[in-house]
Amino acid sequence: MFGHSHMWAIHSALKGRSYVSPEGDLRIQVLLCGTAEFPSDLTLLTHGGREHINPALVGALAPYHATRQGCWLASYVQGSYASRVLQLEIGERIEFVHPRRPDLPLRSGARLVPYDAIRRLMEAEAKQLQPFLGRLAKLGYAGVLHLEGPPPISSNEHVRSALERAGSSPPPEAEVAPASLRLKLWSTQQDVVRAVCARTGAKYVPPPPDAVDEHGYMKQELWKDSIHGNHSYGAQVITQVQALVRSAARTEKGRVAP
Amino acid sequence: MKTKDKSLTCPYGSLPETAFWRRAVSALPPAQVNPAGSGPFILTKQHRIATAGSCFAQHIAHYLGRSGYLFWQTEPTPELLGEELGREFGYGLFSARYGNIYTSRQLRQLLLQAYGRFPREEIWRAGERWIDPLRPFIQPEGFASETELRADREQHLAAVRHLFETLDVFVFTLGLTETWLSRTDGTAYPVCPGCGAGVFSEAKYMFHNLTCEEVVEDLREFVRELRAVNPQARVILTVSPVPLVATMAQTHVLLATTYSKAVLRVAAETLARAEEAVTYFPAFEIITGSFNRGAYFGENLRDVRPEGVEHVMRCFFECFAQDSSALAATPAPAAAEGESRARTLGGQVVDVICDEGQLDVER
Repeated sequence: MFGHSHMWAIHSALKGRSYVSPEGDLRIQVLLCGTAEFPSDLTLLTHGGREHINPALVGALAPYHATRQGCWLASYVQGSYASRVLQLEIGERIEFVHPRRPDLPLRSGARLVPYDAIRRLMEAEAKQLQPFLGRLAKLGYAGVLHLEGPPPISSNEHVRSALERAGSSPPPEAEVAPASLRLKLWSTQQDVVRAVCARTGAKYVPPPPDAVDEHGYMKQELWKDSIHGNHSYGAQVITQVQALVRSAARTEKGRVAP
Repeated sequence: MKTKDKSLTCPYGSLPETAFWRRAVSALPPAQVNPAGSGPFILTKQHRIATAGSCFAQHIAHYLGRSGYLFWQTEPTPELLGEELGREFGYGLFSARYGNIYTSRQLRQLLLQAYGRFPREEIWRAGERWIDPLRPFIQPEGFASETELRADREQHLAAVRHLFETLDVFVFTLGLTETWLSRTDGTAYPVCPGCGAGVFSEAKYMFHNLTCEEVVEDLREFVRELRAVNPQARVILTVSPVPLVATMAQTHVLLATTYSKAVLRVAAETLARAEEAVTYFPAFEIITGSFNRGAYFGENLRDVRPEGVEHVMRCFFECFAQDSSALAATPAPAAAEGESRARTLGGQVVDVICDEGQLDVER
């Protein structure tokens, strides 16, 4: 399993970078792709325009290459596109209708923006994901899982105080976007990431069902900071991944259907 | 017996230079021909200038926005999207997000719809997508849900009301007389249903070529309604010089073009003479006039070249603008009309969006 900041929940849950299941049938190795160890982008564009996976990650995967047919890659990279598109509101307030969540409210007085345009913004944020997962799929491993980032946190107060604790205090004029809007943005992120997975052959893995409350937000006991899950969230993801891999191992040739 | 000095008796002798073809047209360098003269009012940089119409209206918006004049928009590009993405979703092209308004019937209908007197609730479904029949190409792939379409329509019509109530000058470019109407209630569609959006049905839709009387009546009604909600509003009418991309009039497209432009030109003149608030601006003559020997049209004889647009806008500013040097402050023209989507022409970006291009069916 490898990825960026969301991997810390996994790391915390495992209390380290390596884990062997009690049954002894699964071994999980954690790679934290921080900017120090994995500088530059996930995919690197050569002068010829061809995409290559970050050589640091290729190097980190090298020990598993010989046994790759029995090894799964679980990507937990990026995963916060929704927050990058809009977490804090400064200036014009916007709203949009998410086609799968027409139940979510539209704020009075906010500009209605097309869902498709929001999706285009999200796709631009996630533009590296497709070449990245596409390249991963060609490495010859048993399968590629891509883990969706956790759903948003329903409390604006928690988000703001978490940002302040992290030393990134919002400017006074900024307000944390309403939870319902953040949920719609995250749902759009799901749409984009799911589509990328379908195109690349990676298995899209949504957040663990037990980590999501009845409205679609991350359950409060799993909150870490403004966007990440805590070790308990990580533990649920590990359980989910193990179940997926075991299930796949029981099916034909161990392949997970996209 | 001949009089030596014709000016003493012939009434033409006292006419201004602009009344004579040789002195006002053929003897002048093409770029100096200016049939617009001076306008009946002056536009200042405080006036709220709104635009609508066929693709040619986009040029006016483009130049106004870049010359320090107030291109009045009540449905501008959302800040989050940015200009480029916004244009793909129909923002920033006109004063509100209504897309191309080709006919006088559409314009009148828009105003009535905005004030709830044209309660059209029609929606088209295309698989999992939803289309607003009166703005079928306002989004690249329609709307993602019916809920979104209805909410967007409500927001749009509120923006249209705000536009009509707050503008100072409304520049409308008449594009076509050929239109498609609902057999049920007379709704005018911007493009024939089934051409790029919707499904054609002989039972539901009918072709109609507006007569001069109908265009005059549409415009007269529009001006009356506009002045009812905004008594100070002025209207500048122009006629698009771009020929029809296709005709359904069972005649040669060149004849159909001549008919259409003639009707629109006469209707605009009729309104301008009858209504004090209405003025005609001769963009059509500047582009199509023989003085430029066709130089303002591109190779397909429909696209208007950037130098033609620049000539039009130079005359526009000389006619109406308080500061006629405004054009000099604008960047090189980056637009020409006639094509359906962005492309390049002579190394310059051509970026007007014309729904009419949907009628140019390949076979």
